Amino acid sequence: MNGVFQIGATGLHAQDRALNVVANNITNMNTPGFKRAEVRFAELVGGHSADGSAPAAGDASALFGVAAPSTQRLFAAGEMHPTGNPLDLAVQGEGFIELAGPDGQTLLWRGGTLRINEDGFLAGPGGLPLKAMISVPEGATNITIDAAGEVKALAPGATEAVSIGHIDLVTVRNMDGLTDVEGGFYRAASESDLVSAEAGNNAGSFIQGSVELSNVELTDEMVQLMMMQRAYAASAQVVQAGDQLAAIANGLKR
Amino acid sequence: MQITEIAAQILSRAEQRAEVAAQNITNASTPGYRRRISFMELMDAGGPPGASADPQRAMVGADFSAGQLQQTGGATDLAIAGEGFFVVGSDSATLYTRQGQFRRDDSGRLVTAQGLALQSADGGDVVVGDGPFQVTADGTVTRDGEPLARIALVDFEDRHALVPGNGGAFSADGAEPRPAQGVVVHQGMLESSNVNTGDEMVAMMEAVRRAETGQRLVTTYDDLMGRALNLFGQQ
Repeated sequence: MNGVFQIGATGLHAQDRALNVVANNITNMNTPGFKRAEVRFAELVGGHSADGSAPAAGDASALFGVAAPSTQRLFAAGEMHPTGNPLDLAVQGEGFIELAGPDGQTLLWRGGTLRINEDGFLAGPGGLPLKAMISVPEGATNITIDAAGEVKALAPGATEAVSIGHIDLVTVRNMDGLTDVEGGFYRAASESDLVSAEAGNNAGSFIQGSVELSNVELTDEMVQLMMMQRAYAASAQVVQAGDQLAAIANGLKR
Repeated sequence: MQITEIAAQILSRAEQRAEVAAQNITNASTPGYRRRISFMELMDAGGPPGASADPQRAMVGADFSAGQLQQTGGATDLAIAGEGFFVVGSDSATLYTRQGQFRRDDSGRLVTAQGLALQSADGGDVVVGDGPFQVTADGTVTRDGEPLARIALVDFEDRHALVPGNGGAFSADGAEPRPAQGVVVHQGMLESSNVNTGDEMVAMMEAVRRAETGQRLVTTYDDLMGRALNLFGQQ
């Protein structure tokens, strides 16, 4: 069978993957804190090892089409949307809030709606408590979080709000090494990748009462969607042409 | 016998032409991809040196005309406007590419998707470390105004001597690079491929038709032979 089939097939596969990513971006347009992802294409050529050592001479039989080897998440900031809910916390800047994951590892969170979980700690979605383990006194009202992360609450019967803890922002050394975790969280490649506030990171500040909208631009994603549809159709044409060539070769002997 | 040989060659050349067109079409969205051109087009364009001596070797070359520049906003996306290449390499090989889609690796270097590190003009890898950085138009990497490294930008006297490799990178195969002149580096932009899908589709159709011609030759010859054998066999 000729190579045109395989080349077309790689095109279909790569565009399919890219379409999935774009579709995921569009459906999560209104998810607070969502960061859009992008697929990176690369050409495939045979007779080469991955580190680029001597290729075969520029021979047409070494063409293998295209691949979509990696997806990259783009962490551009989204717009701030004030909601007026004191438990909504947004992060302005490049930092993440640390949450204590169910099996003890640190999950990174871009902010959203806080709640008080059943153990009385300030927690993110799913009841996962903040790594700072801030315990909210029972019946406390008027929780305030200032730009630096100082958390104050008015305990029942008290006249003044008192500090109950401090939330720190952490930045990641290598953003490309973050893996996605179910629920809109991220996990760093290793603990050493995180730069804490004491180390002097420029992580940003908190805004209470706002949520960060997704950084998806609908017009851009729609343009990408259309382009990829066309690229998919072009790859399908390539497969059809390969089919015709094969039919011609088969029809030689009647 | 000669006719079948000619027909077989027509068929196989048509298939190769179709493969080149297929590679171009499927890579139309790959950033920095340079359109492959087949042997016939290459010869018309003046061909690579030594092409007539070894036609097998010069089967497929590349077209180095520029693609469009697209805004991506990615800090590690770089595009070259003008005639030049980035230099990327690992320990075993130095390659040249227009594909400026880099990412930061754990050691703070800028690497391609295949893990090849961007090289600086003073030799060695470009190390940007942590944190934001800016790339000026002449390829200098700075942070807060302090220069960190200078990206190597090279060009070649005869670009046809470059051999295409994986991931949009070319190997020099003995050609000497020289510093590129009049190029501008744009950060946050990527150069798209220089494939014209319409042209490639036409080339694909032409190739399929040419294969059909080869097929007609074979079947006609086969017919003739059959008739001749029948005629003389009846004596």
